[in-house]
Amino acid sequence: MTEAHGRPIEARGLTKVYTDFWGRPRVLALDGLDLEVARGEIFGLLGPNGSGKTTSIKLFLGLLWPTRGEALVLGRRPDDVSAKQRIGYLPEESCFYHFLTGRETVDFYGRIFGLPRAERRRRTAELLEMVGLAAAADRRLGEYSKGMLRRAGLAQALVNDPELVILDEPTSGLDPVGCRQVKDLVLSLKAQGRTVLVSSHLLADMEDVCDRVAIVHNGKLKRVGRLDELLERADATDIRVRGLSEAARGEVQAEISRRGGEVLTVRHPRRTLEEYFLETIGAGQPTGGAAAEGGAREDRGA
Amino acid sequence: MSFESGARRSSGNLLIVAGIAALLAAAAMLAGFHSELPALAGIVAAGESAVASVTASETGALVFLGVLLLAGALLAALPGPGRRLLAVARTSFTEARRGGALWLAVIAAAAVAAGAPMLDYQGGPAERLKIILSAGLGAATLVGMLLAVVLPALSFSRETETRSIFVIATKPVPRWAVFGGKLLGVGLALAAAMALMGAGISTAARLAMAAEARRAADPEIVGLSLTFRRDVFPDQADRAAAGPDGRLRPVRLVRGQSRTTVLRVPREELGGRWLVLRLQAQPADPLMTAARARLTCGEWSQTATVLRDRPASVPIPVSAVRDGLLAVSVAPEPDTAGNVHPLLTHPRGAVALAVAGDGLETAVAKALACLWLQLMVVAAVTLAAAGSLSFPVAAVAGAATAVFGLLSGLAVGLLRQAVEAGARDASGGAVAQLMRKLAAGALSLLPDFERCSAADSLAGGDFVPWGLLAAGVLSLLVARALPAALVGALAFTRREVGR
Repeated sequence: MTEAHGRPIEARGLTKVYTDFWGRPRVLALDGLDLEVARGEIFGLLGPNGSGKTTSIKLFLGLLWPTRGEALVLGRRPDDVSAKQRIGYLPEESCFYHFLTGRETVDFYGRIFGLPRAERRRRTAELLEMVGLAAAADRRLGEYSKGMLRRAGLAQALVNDPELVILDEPTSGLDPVGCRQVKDLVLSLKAQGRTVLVSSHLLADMEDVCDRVAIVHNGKLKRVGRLDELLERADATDIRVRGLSEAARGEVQAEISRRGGEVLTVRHPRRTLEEYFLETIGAGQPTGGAAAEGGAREDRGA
Repeated sequence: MSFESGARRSSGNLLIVAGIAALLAAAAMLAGFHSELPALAGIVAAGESAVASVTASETGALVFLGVLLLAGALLAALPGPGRRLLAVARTSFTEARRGGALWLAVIAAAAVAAGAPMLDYQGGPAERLKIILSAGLGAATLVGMLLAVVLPALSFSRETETRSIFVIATKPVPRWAVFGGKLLGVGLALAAAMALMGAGISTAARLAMAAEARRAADPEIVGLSLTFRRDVFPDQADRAAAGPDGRLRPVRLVRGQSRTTVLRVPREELGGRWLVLRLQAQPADPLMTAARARLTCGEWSQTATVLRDRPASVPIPVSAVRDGLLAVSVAPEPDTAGNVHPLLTHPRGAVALAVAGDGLETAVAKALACLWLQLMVVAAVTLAAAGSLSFPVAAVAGAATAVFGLLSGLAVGLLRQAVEAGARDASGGAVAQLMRKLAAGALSLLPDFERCSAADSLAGGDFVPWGLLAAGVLSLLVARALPAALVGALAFTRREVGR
């Protein structure tokens, strides 16, 4: 990891208006976005489709130019090559050369980052193993399933050992096992001190991993803050108890009523469907990375 | 970051590259012209080094090509953008290879090679060889132009379609290096296609001429030499042909007159049985396309038909050489109807001694190298359009460049001549003159593939001079492909790829 240079991501009044061929404004995709992502956190960008998440990410990466405002990535302008050296990016779709194999793809991006041959080979093998594509490393990407392409995308995003990782809809197209692995991977990146910006409309996925989130809607920033602060309902209390008899439960409810509280629901807690699924297929334990056999088992077009 | 600041930074990088390229080009041109200077001085002063006009051009060409190769090697050795450019080029070449583009060249080459032995022809071996080489080069042109349009146009449209451009644009590689890498990759693919076509053409020629080669092995039969020959003009220019201003002038020979030229025969040529003489002359009558001439070397004499501006090759026995010198007399000869057409000898000497030069494969390779230079112009224009516009626009731009370039000798040439003639005409006022000059200048920017086409030389069995390649590198690669590529790279740098 290199020394820190400014905040990983800063945006001030970032605005993007899409224009037509003649330069006439057509769509206001982003309207005055103010945002700061702190070093070492997992920051989620939430919003429905078309809300401006991907536009924001493209502006941070220099794929688009802002109409107004300013964006800084690792303290530099997004078109600065030296900043790109320390960024890993997984695009929303699997945007890769389908005529290359998985190994050649990771190797190609390693070359682009100027990695020496020996390191490139080592890193390529390591990353393909980590994302579960070692067995399919020499197959062309054109033969990969959607989930496998996402994994290959993750491998290329990490080939330069990035300081800032930007993941656009990382769990899109993945099965529950793959989703869990990606979430574990994101958590492990944080544990290594990296900063992760994740964009998704799958709220459950984001809730599992993000430290802070920003909610964007119609191009505007609606809310930003720590998940536990945003989601906390200060006017309600959850008490989870094990081994309480029916009689004791009645007494507790009576006591709550006596003290002026209102019991809203009383029920046995449920696991999430994801937890139940993973438990059923025996993949419930976090792997500490995305290493698993799932990738090789996926069918084409999954 | 504002739009302007981003574009300014990228443009700054591009300007550095453009500056380096311009410096290299200037150095190369300087080297090329410097080596031309003695030859130019010799010609102007009617000196004796007409021979230098060939050798100096070749030296210039070699220096020029050497500088370009050195520049490429330096670029490749650069730790940053150069290596990234090469990485993009490698992937671009892989895309062309795995996309099946080279199979087109393989099929065309196989068709040329397989079709040659089945060729039904009425002429002699020379005619047969000419047909094969012309057809082969025609096929190479067709395949090459198709690939030069399709490969670059597809290269960027696929990037946009699969959005792989999103990923590469977020990596630490300047946009100009992405563009340059793609152009280099396409150029390598085109070179590979030309190499395959060259193999096919050479195989076709060898197969078709196998019977003649066997006959030539018989000492009693003088067969047609399959070896292409390299012209060297006599080292003693005919001073009688020089006018009062010192310039060499053609000599008009009529019936009863002859012109004798003494040639010094290189020692290494004396070991063989035959020498090849080139008679370079033309009918004095502008309406005639051919005239007959008699060549006499001591006791040996032979009649040859010379075509306008087309050297005639005549085999001479080595025994005609005396003390390393060969005296050759040229005189007009009556045609079959008994008419004698005056002969106009070439200003640089009526007779040239051909010494061993390029073999068939080298001549084919040089002709295909000339073709490759033409293809690079088409590829650069197509890629420049594809980098910022759509696939159909890029394909049309590339196809138009190919058509203009190939027809340059006809349509564009005539158009240019007309405009230049108008510019010489004083009528029409200053504005009209200015417009004509501007139009002439604009027309000179159009690709002119004929300036660097070895098709005629190859089919005629002539030496393809290195100077032709040097002219091609200058007029096509430096003056046309490079500016097109720079404009394309600049446009691509300013493009919002994330849209």
